Amino acid sequence: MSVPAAYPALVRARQAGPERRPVRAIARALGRLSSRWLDPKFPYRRRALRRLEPRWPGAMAARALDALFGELTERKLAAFLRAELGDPRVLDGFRAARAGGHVRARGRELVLHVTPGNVPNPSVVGVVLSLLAKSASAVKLSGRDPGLLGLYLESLRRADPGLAASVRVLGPGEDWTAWARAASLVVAYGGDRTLEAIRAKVPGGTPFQGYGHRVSAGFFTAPVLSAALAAKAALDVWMLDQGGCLSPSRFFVGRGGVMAPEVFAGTLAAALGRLSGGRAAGAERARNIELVRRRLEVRALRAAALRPLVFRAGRWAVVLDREGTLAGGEGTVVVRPFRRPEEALAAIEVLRAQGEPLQAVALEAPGTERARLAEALSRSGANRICRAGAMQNPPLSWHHDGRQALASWLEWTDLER
Amino acid sequence: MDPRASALDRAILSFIGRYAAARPPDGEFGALALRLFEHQVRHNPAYRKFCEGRGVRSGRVRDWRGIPAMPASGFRELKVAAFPASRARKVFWTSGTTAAARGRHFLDTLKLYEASLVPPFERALLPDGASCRFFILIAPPREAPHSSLSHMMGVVARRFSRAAARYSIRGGRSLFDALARDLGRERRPVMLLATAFSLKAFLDHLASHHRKLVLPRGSRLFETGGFKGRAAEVSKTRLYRMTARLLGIPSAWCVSEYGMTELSSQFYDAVAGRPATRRRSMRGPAWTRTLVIDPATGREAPHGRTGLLRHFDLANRGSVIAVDTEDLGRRAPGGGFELLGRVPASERRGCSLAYEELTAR
Repeated sequence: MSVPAAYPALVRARQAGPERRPVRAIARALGRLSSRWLDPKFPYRRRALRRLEPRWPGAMAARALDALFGELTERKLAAFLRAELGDPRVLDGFRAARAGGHVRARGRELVLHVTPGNVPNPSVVGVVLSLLAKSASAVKLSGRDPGLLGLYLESLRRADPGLAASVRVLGPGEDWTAWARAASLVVAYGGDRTLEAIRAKVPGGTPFQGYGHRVSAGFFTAPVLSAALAAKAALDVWMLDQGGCLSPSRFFVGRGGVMAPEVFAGTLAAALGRLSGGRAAGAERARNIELVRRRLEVRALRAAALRPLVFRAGRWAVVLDREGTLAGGEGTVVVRPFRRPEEALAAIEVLRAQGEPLQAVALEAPGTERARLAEALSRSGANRICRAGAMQNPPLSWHHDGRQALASWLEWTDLER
Repeated sequence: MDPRASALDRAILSFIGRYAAARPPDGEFGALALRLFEHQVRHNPAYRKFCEGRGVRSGRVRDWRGIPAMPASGFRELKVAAFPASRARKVFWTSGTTAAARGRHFLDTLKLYEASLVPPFERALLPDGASCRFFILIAPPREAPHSSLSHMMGVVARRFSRAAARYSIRGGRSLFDALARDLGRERRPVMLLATAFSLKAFLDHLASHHRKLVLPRGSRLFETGGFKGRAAEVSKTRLYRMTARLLGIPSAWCVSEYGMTELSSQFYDAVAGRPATRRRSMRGPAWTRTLVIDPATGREAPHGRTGLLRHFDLANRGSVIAVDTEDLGRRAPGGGFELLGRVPASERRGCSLAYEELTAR
């Protein structure tokens, strides 16, 4: 088995850098850098916006950076470490364990990250978590990488070269499979086929954390429907141009309240149109919207249903799907009305059976009903239940794909008395 | 059969007869198209409801371009027939893996279908009146009674093949060795008729057995179907280059056909033996028209811009005259349209990178 030539240097940089520092010091350094990234005048932030704005125009890119670095401040990192590890100093040495004796956690020697191309945040989060774990990182960027990680690492090199030296982005054409063989942990994002392909390159004994395909949705009961809620829902769809696993493609909307689902759908479309500033749909998106519209038109005929409702606004279309058979995505948002919440829960189960597991759900319902539905959605596999308007601001402590973030990347040693 | 349908069939057959080799005045096409539309709105309940949904009423359409086009998905979900479907003489099914996902085209007569397919085929494949023996890499009609392509093969083989046509897909098996042997024995021109997929498989078979054939001069290829997203996709140029190298059929003798189960007429991108002087474009017979639709506006796309293809086919008397496809194309400079493939299935979303992106760098 050949080890990549750059491997030993990266491991030495880890030994000389993060491994020698207390985790609190690493969190402080990273947190301070995040605060600078939150400053609109920070040159790296401005360069990043120029890089991201062609794909996520208007205020989208700035909001994405705020959501990302707002979760990576010193205070948030410290809180996150406490939430995941109890006593974060287990990463520095043995600490007293609650169950008696002592416990120590170590990050793996080298983590290979295979990053996604559709959203900018996970690559930065992955590197930050590796640094907190005092691991070295090799990063295989997606062919469609948005370019944020490169700038982040540049800013880290300036702010803290000792930390930055233990991260390496693989060059174009560099054999990532050699790194997959050498790494002590592989973290990858992708569709089922991609994850399978990556996993096939990882030796059997090496832990593999794959973050796969999942869908997100909104779930609003009849009494809470309002124009303000539609505006929040629109924000969740619009952010990152509906391109991430936290981007909702469907909204389950209750019937029988003051606002009918049909009106809600129209209000949602109008809000999306306003957010996009009247930008027209590109060719690919226009085709997708048109094909969804046709399918709906034909299905309505078959079901002898009412005329299909399609609300178009700029580059978006909101369709009212009374049968609940459409998927949404790529510029289309499906509003599926329900009379009883159980109908929507049953539809979610069908999705799960069809290979569309849930990620996040923006859940709005009055009082105890919200808690009851949250319980049901948790049973249905949702790993994040949040408020409308907050879908694209996941806290760092979010159990992505239902797992702990940092704790699952560590190796633990128990010292008994 | 309904006497009004019979009268329409006579008018359509007369049109086909008169314009098999010439382009009719637009007015004559339009008049017959509107007559057909009125008939279908009256006798095709699914289409009538569809038109009502669009706010289009019988007697209100003045131009054939304004005839509402049924989405191809309508053939999957509805009974698109201008006669009681129980009286269908033939039902063609679209390809697909499950019955639920397959479209059906009901025909109460095969007269129009067969009259429509013969002249364009002859013009594109046999312009020299050659006498070719047919070798067919498509399931025979008896084995695939619901395939419009197999049915078409049966019709053209009976009509034009020099001797009994040879089918080399039998019982779902490809008889490549026997086909290579039989082709090698031919001393007079042959016509090989295949889907792009079966042709590629045959050529791969020859290459893997280090076999090369030089078919008699004047031999030609009828190729159809594309790969529709199958893994072994190759470009048409490469496919024709392989055909030239392994079968000795030069690309000027390779003709690509484009058809749909939902239509009764076919389109061709070349005339056999006539070297293509520009990029190949698909052309339909005089009783068809194709519009390139801009999905953002629902209107015709400007010249040269890619859009979704909408076909009008007078020979579709038993179903609907106008069909909206999920095929991409653009108007070609010299007439006809360039076929640019199928709209790709929507990419799955999530924190994902496509497999191709992973392997691309």
